[in-house]
Amino acid sequence: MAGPGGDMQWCFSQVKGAIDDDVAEADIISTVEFNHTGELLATGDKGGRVVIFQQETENKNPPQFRSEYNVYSTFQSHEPEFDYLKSLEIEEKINKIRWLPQKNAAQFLLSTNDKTIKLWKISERDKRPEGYNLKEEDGRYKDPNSITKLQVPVLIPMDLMVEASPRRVFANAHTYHINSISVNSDNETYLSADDLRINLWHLEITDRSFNIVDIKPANMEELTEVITAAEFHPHQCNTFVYSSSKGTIRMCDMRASALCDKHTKLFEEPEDPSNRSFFSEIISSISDVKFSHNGRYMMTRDYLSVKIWDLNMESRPVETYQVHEYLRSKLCSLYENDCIFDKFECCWNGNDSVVMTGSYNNFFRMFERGHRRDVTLEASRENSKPLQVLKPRKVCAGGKRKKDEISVDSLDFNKKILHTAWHPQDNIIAVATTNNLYIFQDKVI
Amino acid sequence: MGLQAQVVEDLFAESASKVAADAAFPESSGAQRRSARGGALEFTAFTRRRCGQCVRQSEYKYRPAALDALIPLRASPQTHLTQHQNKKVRQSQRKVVKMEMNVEARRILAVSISKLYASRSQRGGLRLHRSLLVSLVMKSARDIYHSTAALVEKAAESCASTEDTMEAMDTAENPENQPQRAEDKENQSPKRPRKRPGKVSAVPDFLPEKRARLEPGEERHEAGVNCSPSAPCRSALVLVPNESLLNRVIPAF
Repeated sequence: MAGPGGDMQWCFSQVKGAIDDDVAEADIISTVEFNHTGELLATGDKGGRVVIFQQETENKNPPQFRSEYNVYSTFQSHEPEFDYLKSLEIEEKINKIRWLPQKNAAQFLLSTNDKTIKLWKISERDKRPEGYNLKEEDGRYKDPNSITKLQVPVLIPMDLMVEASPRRVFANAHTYHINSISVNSDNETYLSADDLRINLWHLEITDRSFNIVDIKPANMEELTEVITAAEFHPHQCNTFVYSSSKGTIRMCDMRASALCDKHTKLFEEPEDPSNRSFFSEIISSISDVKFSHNGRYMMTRDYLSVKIWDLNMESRPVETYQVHEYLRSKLCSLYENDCIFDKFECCWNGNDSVVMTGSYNNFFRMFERGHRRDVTLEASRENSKPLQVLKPRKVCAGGKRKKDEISVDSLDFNKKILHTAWHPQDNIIAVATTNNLYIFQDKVI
Repeated sequence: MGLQAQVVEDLFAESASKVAADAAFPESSGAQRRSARGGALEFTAFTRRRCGQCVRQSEYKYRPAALDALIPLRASPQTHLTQHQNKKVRQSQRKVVKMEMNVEARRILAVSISKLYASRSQRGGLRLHRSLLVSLVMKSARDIYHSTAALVEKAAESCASTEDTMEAMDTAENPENQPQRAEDKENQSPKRPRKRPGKVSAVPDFLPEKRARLEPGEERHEAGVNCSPSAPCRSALVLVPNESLLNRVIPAF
């Protein structure tokens, strides 16, 4: 972590995506996810496409530079649909991608839009059969009368071809918009969450799912909160959490009952009355929840802060980090331009010592938990020379602006980093700006 | 509760119920809800006309701490104020602050309503989470509006009596300034609404102006009472903000 006395600095590695300032809406990145080994990096966009990057295994570069990520596979996961019964258009935007742990040579991932979840198999083909008895090389059937001998087809090498095929389609189970999917540690089930319900699926069964959480009130006029994110515990297959728009997190145990409407634990921090405003409810809404890799903590992201919770303590978070507190006085303007509704994600590093989240002006923030240090970095084309070290940025909240500081009024609220991902084992991060994917790595000293 | 507050209450209740209805039945077509849009436009136009008498909205940002730094009411030309006058000035300043909050609450209400209506036509259908958050903001704005509306009305009523009292006291203390006072039009009740051009409109610009529908017979009747026989009938189209006319301005939703 770059800071006084810090020994880690972040430097630019790669950037993916078009350079044009005119951004097509379909190219806007909507989700980023590393697989369990970090070898593969998947992105989803608003156009319903999934692009998978693979880290090169052969390290031909100097030791200071890790292998690059190159395009491995691209496929159209979801198409726009129209629900004729409800007269609603269903967007093809990929809301979430989750990788399954690898069991064989093929890779599997779940991708979801607002209504439908799909299981994709990504497999490699580097050999093809040759020497069929009944077919020509181009696939046409031979004249049986022309066949005079019998031969055994052989497999010959060919150029690597990566195929993506949909293996399962989990549809028609959600009335409201799906915001989360999470694969269970049992590798057999997964959950999907929309605004009011959470369903439990088996990966092999597509025609039914179990509803495990339902917070829809009998009278919708009494609706006070919605589900914003949900995740399974990384090790306990019976435990999951879901966050709400009221800023609460509920932990549920599926062993207690079939319907987990009653929570096992409720994590909630009392609101500070001095910060009360018109927009208190909006900024307290949790946009993301993530368990730590060791399963002891969980992290939540609301509009202005990141909070770390100990699963054994429900009354308050153990750590709170302010991401961009200088925006508190700008909430009215942010409400008018809709930025206050942005849903920022957050992520842990491999050993749970650092957390990262995005902000505006293409800034992203890292918080080092142990040393209580934080840094603000920027993902921009200006800082995209190979191995260029990222310079920490500072935002001037008020008063006299120092050199190299940027004032709050100069921030570009159209440039926002909502999606970030951290390699599970290495110090490599993927940061998604509007339509570009930046990959940074730590500078090995 | 004043008539204006009743309008806010009705509009909020209608919008909240529509949010709930759309959420319960997300299959509802956006086209079915468009008939209510006229009501929102008319409310906005009505608010705009009423706000023409208020402090400039464009220069106001909702920032409670900054309210203290607002320019107070225009001070009396005299440099020396009595303790009673100081107290009255402070009371007036507090009332101005309340009025500012009232204006801001209405502005946020208008912005929220426009967001709710715009969300119905966006791709992917109504977003329940976002609609809920917007309705919560509307609720907060409505609560602030109601809590300050009574004070605003009271301030408007006592404004004239306070100024009359101050004038009387000033006249008693400084008889030589009476000629100037007579010509001081600043603190007199305006005979017609003053229009203050703002830098930024408090209501969204994309909402077109729309006059409130009036009963033609009643409107002409009112104008006929106020018009002199020799004056042109064009004055019949000018709305005079008096209580009896307000009762007829509010359209049915």
